[in-house]
Parts: sequence; C-alpha cells; structure tokens
Amino acid sequence: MKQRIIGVAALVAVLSYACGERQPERVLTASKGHIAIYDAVATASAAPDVSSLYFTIANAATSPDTLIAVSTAAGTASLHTVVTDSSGVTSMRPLVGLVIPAGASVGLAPGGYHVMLTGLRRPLVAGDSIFIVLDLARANLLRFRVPVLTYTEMVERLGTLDHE
Amino acid sequence: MTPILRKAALAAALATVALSVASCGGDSPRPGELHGAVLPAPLPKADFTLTNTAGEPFAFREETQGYVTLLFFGYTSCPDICPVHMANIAAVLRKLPPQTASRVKVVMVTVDPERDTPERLRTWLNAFDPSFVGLTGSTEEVNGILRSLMLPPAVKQGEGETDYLMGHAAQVIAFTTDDRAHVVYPSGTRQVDWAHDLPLLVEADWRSE
Repeated sequence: MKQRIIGVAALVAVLSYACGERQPERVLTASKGHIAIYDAVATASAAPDVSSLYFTIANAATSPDTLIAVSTAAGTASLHTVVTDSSGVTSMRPLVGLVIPAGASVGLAPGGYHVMLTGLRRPLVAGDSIFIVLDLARANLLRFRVPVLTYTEMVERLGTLDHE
Repeated sequence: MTPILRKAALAAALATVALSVASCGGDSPRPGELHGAVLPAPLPKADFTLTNTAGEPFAFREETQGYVTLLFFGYTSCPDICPVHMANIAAVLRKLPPQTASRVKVVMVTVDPERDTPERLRTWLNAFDPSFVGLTGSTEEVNGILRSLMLPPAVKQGEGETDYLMGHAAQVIAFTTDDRAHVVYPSGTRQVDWAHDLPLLVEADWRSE
C-alpha cells in the first residue's frame, strides 16, 4: 500500500514536471581559475543581422569579479539589461560591468541581462556554433565556443526570467 | 496505517493527480484563475487598419473577429523581449490541440517602420510561425493605436541612422471573442502560463461576467 502511495506521489511529481518549466542540470561550457561558465547559448537569427547570447557566470573566489565586455568575431556584442520605466516603456540599457559576487552565480537569461549581437556578418543558424570572448577584471580573457539554438530551443533550455 | 487511513491517503493522492492533469489542460474557464495580468477594466478591441506583410490592408477588428487575438508591439532588431514572446507563443500553439490553436491569432505590429519592411517582418515572423500576422504603419498611426490601448508611445533610443534601439510596451494584449481584452501578458510570461491560459481564453464566456 505504501508503495502504491509512493508510486502515485512519483506520478504527481512527473506530471508537475511535465506541466512546469523544465529545470535541467546546468551544463558547464567553459572554466578558468575561479570562473565557470554554464549553459552558454546563442540564438539563431530571426532577423538576419540580430541575435542574442545567454550564459551563467559562477565565481568560486572569495572576492568579486566583474564582467567588463563580451566580444565575438561574428558581430558586435553589447551587454544589456532590460528596464521598464514608470510610463510602461520597456527598453534595453547598456550594462557597464556586471559584478559577479564572491561565491555566487549571475545568470544572463531571457527578459533580463543578455548580450545583444548586431551587425552579424552572416545570420546565425541553429546547429552552428560561434566563439565568444569574455573579458573579466580578475580572470581576464575566457574564450569558448557557444552552440546556436533557435529561440524556441533556447527558451525551453533556459526558461524565462520571471519578473514577478 | 489503518485501512481507512490508507484509502483516504490513496484518494487524496489520486485527487492530486487529477488536479495536476486539470492544471495542464485548464478546463475551468474562470477569469480569476488566469496566469496573465487581469486588467482593472476590460479594453475594447482596437479598431485600425494597417498593412500586412503581403502589402495588403489588414482591418484588425474585422480580420480577427471570433478569434482569441494576441496583439504585440515590437520590432525585429530586438534581440530578447520580442523574439522570446514570439518563440514562447509559437511553441505553446504547436503543443495545444489543433482545435484550440486554430482559434488563436497572433498579430505583431512593428514600432520600427523605418527598418521593418514588410519583407523583413515576414522573414522574422517565419522564424517563429508563418501564420503570425505582421503589420506595418507610420509611427503616428502605431502610436495612435498604442494610445487607444492606454499604452505609451514607442521611443527611439540612440542617434544612429540604422543603429538604434526602440523602447516599447512589452506586454502582449489578449483580445477575446467578446471583442475586449481582459488580460495582458508581460515580458517574463512563461510557456507554462500560455499553455494554462490560452485554452481558458478560447473557451471563456465573458458575457456571463
């Protein structure tokens, strides 16, 4: 009997999982010293010259580090945050240095911090990958490859930052 | 556990399963249960005509009559908010039963007519769903529509000729078959929210309110 109840409870868990956003294990993309990059994703261009990049930076050091810039040969990369003003206008603002606190992670995710890619030499296509370079104040340069997913695949992988 | 307690525990567990299943399908169209942001007062359906991506006039009110219509104002050079909304809606519509999905129309009005030609808008929308309607009009026309929906006008940010950003209202407005909008979906709305609400919006009988 106890087993049946546990079985039903497991079914509830599976159904809740199926209904909710998937929360997969985070995948290590790259690391250097105290910095680890997880779940780096570039999106396939919907408009031919525009795209976006997302990743999570984890800082294992006992002091903060700062992401100063992102660059790629694929195009121009701009670090952005999203703000909504009192009139209800939502817009992107350049982010001048993203602090990664000691022993903490900061995520770039849909609807929040992201890297805007513009002036793409050619559209990013799902299944391809691009190299990006992060410039951090203490860890210096990290160069790694990022897979290109469609926006739909990206959102299903990362979920959407919930503003509420 | 006594036999009665066991039976009660099993019944409770099964009821939880039933609730879990119901929350996926959403068969009780009570507005209070919507995940979207319910408006303090419903908005009348906007009445305007703009140009679709085939270059033809599109009379919004007439063309969307009888459908749940998701109206969004955005632009194709937008890397995050706009494509994320479109990708989420498209993904959920593909997963819903066809008889529900076919009762939903998605209309995107560009707030960036300088760069968003009908062709560019079509290419962009096709990345999500070829059935999504793309509309272009002058800045004045689009700002007039935004004003009629009590939304702020779009704002150009940056001095570049072609290199600038647009600030814009980021919510998707859901018009229902009663030709009113009772609920909007802000940036950050997840697929689970759309999957929950769209069947309710399709089935809802707002006249009984």
